[in-house]
Amino acid sequence: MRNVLTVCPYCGCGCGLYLRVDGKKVLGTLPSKEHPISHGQLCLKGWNVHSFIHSSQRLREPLVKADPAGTYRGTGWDEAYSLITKRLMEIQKKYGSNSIGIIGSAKCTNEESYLLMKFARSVLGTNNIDSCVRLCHAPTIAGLGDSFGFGAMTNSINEIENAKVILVIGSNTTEEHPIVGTRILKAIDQGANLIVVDPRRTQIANISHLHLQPAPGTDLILISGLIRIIIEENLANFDFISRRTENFEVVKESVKKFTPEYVEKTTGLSFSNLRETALMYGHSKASMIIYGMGITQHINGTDTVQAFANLAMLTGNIGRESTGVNPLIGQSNMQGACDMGVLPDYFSGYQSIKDKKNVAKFEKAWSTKLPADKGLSFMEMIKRARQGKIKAMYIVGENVLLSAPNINEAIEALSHLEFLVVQDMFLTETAQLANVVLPSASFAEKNGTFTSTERRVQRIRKCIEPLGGTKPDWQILSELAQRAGYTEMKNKNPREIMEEIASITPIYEGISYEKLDNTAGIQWPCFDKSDTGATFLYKDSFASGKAYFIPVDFTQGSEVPDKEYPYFLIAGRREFQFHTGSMTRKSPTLEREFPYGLVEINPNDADDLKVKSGWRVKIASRHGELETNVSITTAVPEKTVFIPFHFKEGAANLLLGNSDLDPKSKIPEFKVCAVKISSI
Amino acid sequence: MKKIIKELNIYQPHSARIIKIHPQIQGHRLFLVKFEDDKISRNFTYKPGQFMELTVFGSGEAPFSLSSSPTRPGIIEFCIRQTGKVTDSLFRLSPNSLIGIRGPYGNGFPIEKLENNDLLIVAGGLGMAPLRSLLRYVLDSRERFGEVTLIYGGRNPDDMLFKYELLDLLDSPEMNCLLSVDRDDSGTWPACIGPVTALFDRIKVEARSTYAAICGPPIMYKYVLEKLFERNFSYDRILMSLERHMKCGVGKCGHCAIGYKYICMDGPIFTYQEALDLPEAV
Amino acid sequence: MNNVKILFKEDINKFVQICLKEAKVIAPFKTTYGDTIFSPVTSPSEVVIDHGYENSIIPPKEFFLPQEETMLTYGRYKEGYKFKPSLADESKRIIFGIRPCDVSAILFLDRFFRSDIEDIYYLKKRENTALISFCCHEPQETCFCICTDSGPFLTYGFDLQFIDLEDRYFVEIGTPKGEKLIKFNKNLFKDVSVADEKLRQEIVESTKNKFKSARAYFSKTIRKLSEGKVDRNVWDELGQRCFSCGGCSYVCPTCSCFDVADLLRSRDGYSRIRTWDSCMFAGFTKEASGHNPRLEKKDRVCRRYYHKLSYQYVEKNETHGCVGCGRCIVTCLGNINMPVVVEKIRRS
Repeated sequence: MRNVLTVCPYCGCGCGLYLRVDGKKVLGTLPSKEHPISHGQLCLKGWNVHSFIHSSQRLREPLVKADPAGTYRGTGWDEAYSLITKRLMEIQKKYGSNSIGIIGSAKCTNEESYLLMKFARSVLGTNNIDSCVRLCHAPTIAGLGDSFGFGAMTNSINEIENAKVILVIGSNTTEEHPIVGTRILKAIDQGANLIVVDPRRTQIANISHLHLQPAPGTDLILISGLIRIIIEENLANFDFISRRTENFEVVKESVKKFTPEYVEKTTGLSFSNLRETALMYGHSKASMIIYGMGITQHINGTDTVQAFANLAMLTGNIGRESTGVNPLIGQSNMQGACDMGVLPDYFSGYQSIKDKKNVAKFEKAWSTKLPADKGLSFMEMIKRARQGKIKAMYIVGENVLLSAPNINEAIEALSHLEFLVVQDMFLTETAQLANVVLPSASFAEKNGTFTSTERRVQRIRKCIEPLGGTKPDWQILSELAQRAGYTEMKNKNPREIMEEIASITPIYEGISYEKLDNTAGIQWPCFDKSDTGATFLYKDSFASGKAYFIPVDFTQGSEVPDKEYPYFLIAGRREFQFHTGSMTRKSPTLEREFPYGLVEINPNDADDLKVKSGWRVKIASRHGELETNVSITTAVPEKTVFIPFHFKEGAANLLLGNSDLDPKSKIPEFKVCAVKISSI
Repeated sequence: MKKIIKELNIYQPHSARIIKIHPQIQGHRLFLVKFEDDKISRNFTYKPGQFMELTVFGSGEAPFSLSSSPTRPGIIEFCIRQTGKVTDSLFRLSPNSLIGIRGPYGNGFPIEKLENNDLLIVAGGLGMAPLRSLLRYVLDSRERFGEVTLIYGGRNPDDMLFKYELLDLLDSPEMNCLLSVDRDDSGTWPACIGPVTALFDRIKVEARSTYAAICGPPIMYKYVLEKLFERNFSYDRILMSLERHMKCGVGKCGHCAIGYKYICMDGPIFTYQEALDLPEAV
Repeated sequence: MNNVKILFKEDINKFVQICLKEAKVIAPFKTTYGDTIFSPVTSPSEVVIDHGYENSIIPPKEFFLPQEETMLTYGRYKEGYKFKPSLADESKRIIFGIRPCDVSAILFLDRFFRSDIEDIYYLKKRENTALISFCCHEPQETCFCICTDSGPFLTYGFDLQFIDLEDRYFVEIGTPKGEKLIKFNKNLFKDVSVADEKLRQEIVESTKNKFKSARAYFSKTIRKLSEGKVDRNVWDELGQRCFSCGGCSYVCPTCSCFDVADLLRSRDGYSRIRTWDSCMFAGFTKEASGHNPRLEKKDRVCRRYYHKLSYQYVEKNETHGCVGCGRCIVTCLGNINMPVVVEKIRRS
C-alpha cells in the first residue's frame, strides 16, 4: 500500500490528505497531521474523497453525439480531436472568434486553467473565457481588487485562532468550510467574540455571542450602519487612515444617510445589537471579517465587499495578523482559476488585458496575436448563446445546468449552440447536451497544483494512472492545441507548465515544483526564488501603495417578496454534499446522509401553509417552479425558506432566474428570490 | 488467539427464487420465496419473530421479518412495504426472479415460554407481518397453547394486511379474532368499526396466565401498553418487536444498537421489562 | 510471567530482516512530510522504531477492518447470479512497532468480532498476523493510556513486546506465535540479567510519571453515564460543537461499526463493500421510511460515549471502549474527545 500526499478536491480550505493506494485502486483517505491546514483533521467529505474515483459512472471514452435525439456513441481520441478542431475552426471562420465561449473549472489544476486560458486566447482568439467564479466570488475579485489590490483572502486560515473579534457574515462556515469552522471554534475557546450575520440560525450562529438575522439582501446597509456608528463613537483609526489609505472623506460623507432609523427599518435589526457589534469590532485590535457566498451572490455583491474593505480600513484591521477581510472560496481551485486568468478581463496573476504592455508581453511569450477586446462573462455568454450570438462553447468540468441561475434559460442557451464540447469525469446534465464529451482524469490521476482560499499554492499528486480511456485535462488541451496547429502548447508535464506560469506571472514568479515539494505550499504573492510567500497581505503597503475607500450605496434587488410571492428563498449548501453533487453523490456515505432535496420552513409558516415535515410541496417563483420535501425547522426565520442547490431533483436554480447582474462584477443575483409555496 | 473453528462466512447469501408475489394493500406485497438449493430448503427452520436479509441484485441488502410459519416448511413468506432503494428494486421484480437470502436472524418469540399460556396478539399496520408468523405457528400447533386472541386495527378496510385470511378467522372456534377499522366507506366491512383500543373492552384476559405480543407503529405502543397496565399485565409478560435501521443482521455493523443491546441479536423481540432498561427504546 | 530475552539494538535490523523473510511486515513509516502511517515496508531502513515516534494518524485496525473492504462480488452467471466471497489473501503478516494502546484495542476488537457470530473477514486476517509491540517511554501530549489501563506496558495481548533499555531491548514473549519468531533467531536473542530486570522495572515506573497533559478519570464518569445521571446540558453543549465528520470513529482503534453498500465496480458485476461508518452520522440510524430515532447531534454524541463508557457495555466487552491513544483529541473538529467529555461529565 502506498500513501500519496495530495490536496482535497472539495472546498477551498486546501486540506492535505493521503490517498491510500493499493495497486491500481484508491482504497482510503487519511488526513495529514503535519499539514498546516488539516492538522490530522478532515470533514466528512474529506474523509470520503476516495469514494468517487472508481465510480462506475466515470466516463471511459470520448463520446460523440450520434443523432439529434441525443444518443451517444463512443469513439477514439483521434476522431474526437478531429471533430472538435474542424467544427471550432469552421465556426471561428464563419462567425468570428468572439462567437465562441469558454468556461473553465474551479476544480482543474492551475496548470490546466492556465492552458485553457492560453488555448482560449491564442488558439480560439477570444477573451470570452470565464468560470463559475462569476457565480460565486466575482465580487471578491472585483471588490477587494479595487480596494486593496488583490481579490483574495488578506489573511490565513490559521490566523483565525488568534483573532479577538470575528464577524462571520453570509457564511455557514461549519458546514461549508469545516476546517475554517474549527479555527473559529478554537478562537472562541481562547476568548474571542463571534458575531454571526445570517438570516438562518446555522450551527455557527448557535455558538456565536451575537447572532444578527437581517432581512435577506440588506447586508450592505448593515455594514454601512456599522461604519457610521464607529465614526460617531470615535473608534476610527485616523493614524492608519491617513498613512495607508485614500478617499476616506468621501466614504465618511456617504455613510451619513445610514442613520439608525434607516438601518433598523430596512434590516429589521435593533440598533442596540448593531451598536454592540460596532463597539466590539471597533474596539478590538484583532477584528476579522469572514464572509462567503451569502454576501457575493447579490446584485450589490461587489458594493458589500467594498463596504467590508472600508470597515476594515476604518479601524486599521488590515495589514496585520489575525485581522483583515477574508472571503471563503467554495472550491478547491477557484482561487487558482482566477489567478491563472480564467477571466474575461485578466491574464494570469491579474494582469489586465486593458494594459497594452501586458498584451505585448503575452503575445511575445506565446508567439501569437492576442485579441484586444474585453471578453464576455459567464452570464453574458449564456445570454448571447440564447440569442444565437454565441455559436459554440467549450466547457471544462462545470455542470452549468445546475450551477447557473435559471436552469431553464441555461438549457435553452446550450441547446441553441451549433457546437458544444464538454470535458468532464461524468456525464453530467450539461455533458448530456454536448456534441462531444471528453472524459477527463480525476484529481488522483494527475499531477498539478491547487491554490486554496488562503492563496496557498500546493501540489496535488498522481496516485494512479488515469482510468482506462481518460486523460488529464492539461493533456487534452495540449493535444488539442497541437491538433489545431498551435505549436506553443507542447507541454510534457505540469511541472513544465508551472515554469511557464512562473516566468510570466509576477505573483507566482518564485513558485516552482522544487519549492512546493519541500513545503506545505506557498502563499502567493511569491516574487522570487528566495521568497517564502505571505501569510497575510499588505503588511507595509497595498498593491498600489495606498488602499482606496470606495463609497457604496444600497441598490434594492428586484427579488423582493410581494403579495403573490410572499416568501424569501435563500439558496445554499449543506455539509454532506458539494455543489451540483457530481462527485459527492457517488459516495454511499455522503449520499446516505443527505439523499434528496428539501425546503426548510419555519414552524409558523408551516402552520399557515398547513404542511407537515416530509410532505411534498410545490414552490414557484417568477421564473420557474419545483417540487420538493418539507423540513420544518426554527433555523429559518418566518417568511424565509431555504433550499440546498445540490440536487437535480429539486434544484434551487430552477427558481432563481433573475437576469439582473451586479454591474461591477456581473454576478447574477442568486442568493435570494421571492417564492410562493403550495402543498400538493 | 483461539483458532477459528467455523469457516462459515456469515455474510454469504444463498440463492433463492421468488415463487409468487401477492399484492397486499397499497404499497405492500407478500413475496413467496424458496431456496434454490433443495438441501438448504429442506433443513431450513426458524422461529416466528425472526427476520432474514434479502439481497436484490444491484441494489443491496435489507432485513425483512418472516411472515410465514416454520410449521409449513418449504416456502417462506415476507410481507414487505415499499419504502426505500432496496424495496423499490424488489417491487420491480417478477415471479421467478432470483434474489439472495441469508438468515434467519434475531431471537424470535420465546415459543417455549408461551406454550401452555394464553396469548394476546396486538397488531397495527405492518406490525402484522411478524405477528402473522406467530399466529400461524400457534394455530398450527393449537394444542400447545391456551386461549388465543388477535386484536388488529387499521384506518379502513383497504388498510388491513392479510385481510381475507384474517376475516376467515372471525368465526373460528380456534381463536378470538377481533378486527377493527376506523372508517368504512364501502359499508361492507363485516367486523368492528371504531378505534382499535375499544376492542380491549370486549376481551377477557387473565393477566397472570397470558402473554401479550405487540407490534405496530410507535404511537400504538403507548395506547396498548396503557390498556395492558390497566389489566395488571406484568412487564415481563408483554413482548414487543422493536425496529431499527439494520445492515449486517449479525451484531457486527452496529447500526441497530440501542442502549447496550443489538436489535438483530438480542431482539427484535423484547419484553417490556427489557425495553425499559434500554435508554433509547421507549 | 512471560518468557523474556534481550536483543541488542545493533541487531534490530537483522531481526527486521528476518521478519521480512517470514512475513509481510507492516510498520510505522514516516512519510517525507513527517506523518507517521502504518504501511507495508520492504527494508529495515523504512521502519521507524525509535521510541519517540508519534502514534500513527489512523490505528492499525485498518489492517483487519480496512476503510473499504470488498466482501463479495456478484454478477450474472449463466442461469442466475453467483456470490463470490472476496476474502483477503492469507499470507502471514507482522505488525512491527505497534503501540501497547493499539494492541489493547485489537484485543478489544478480537473479542467483539469473535463473540456470538464470528466475522471471518476480520478473524482470518487477525489469525495470520503477529503483533510486535514497542512500549512507549515518551508519551505524547495527547496520550492517556495510563488512565485506561491499556499501556504503556502490557502483560498480555502482544506476541512480542519490546521495551527500550537504552542500548538494548527487553523482549517479552507473549504467545507461541511470538516464541516462534524468536526461535528462528536464537543467536540474536540473549538471556536476561538481573540488572536488565531491574532497569526494566525502573523504566516502567519512571514512564508512568511522564503522563501529564491529557488525563481522564473514568470511574465517576462511568457511574454517572450508566445510571443515566448526566445533565442534558452536557450533551447539548457537545452537540453544538459536533461537525458530524465521523473522524472520531474513523480514528478510534476500538470503533468497528461499518456500512455495507453494493456498488457497480466493473463490467463483470457488483461488489458488496463494507466501509467504516460512524454513529455520529444522521444516516447511521435513519430508517428507510425517513424516521430517525437519533436525529440530533447531541443524541449521537451521547450514544457514542454511552457505548464507550457505560457499565452495560463494560460488562459486555469486558472493559470500557477507550484505550487512551488520544487520536480523537487530534482529529475532532469540535474538540470533543474522551478526556474533555469525561471531565465534563464528572463535573456536571
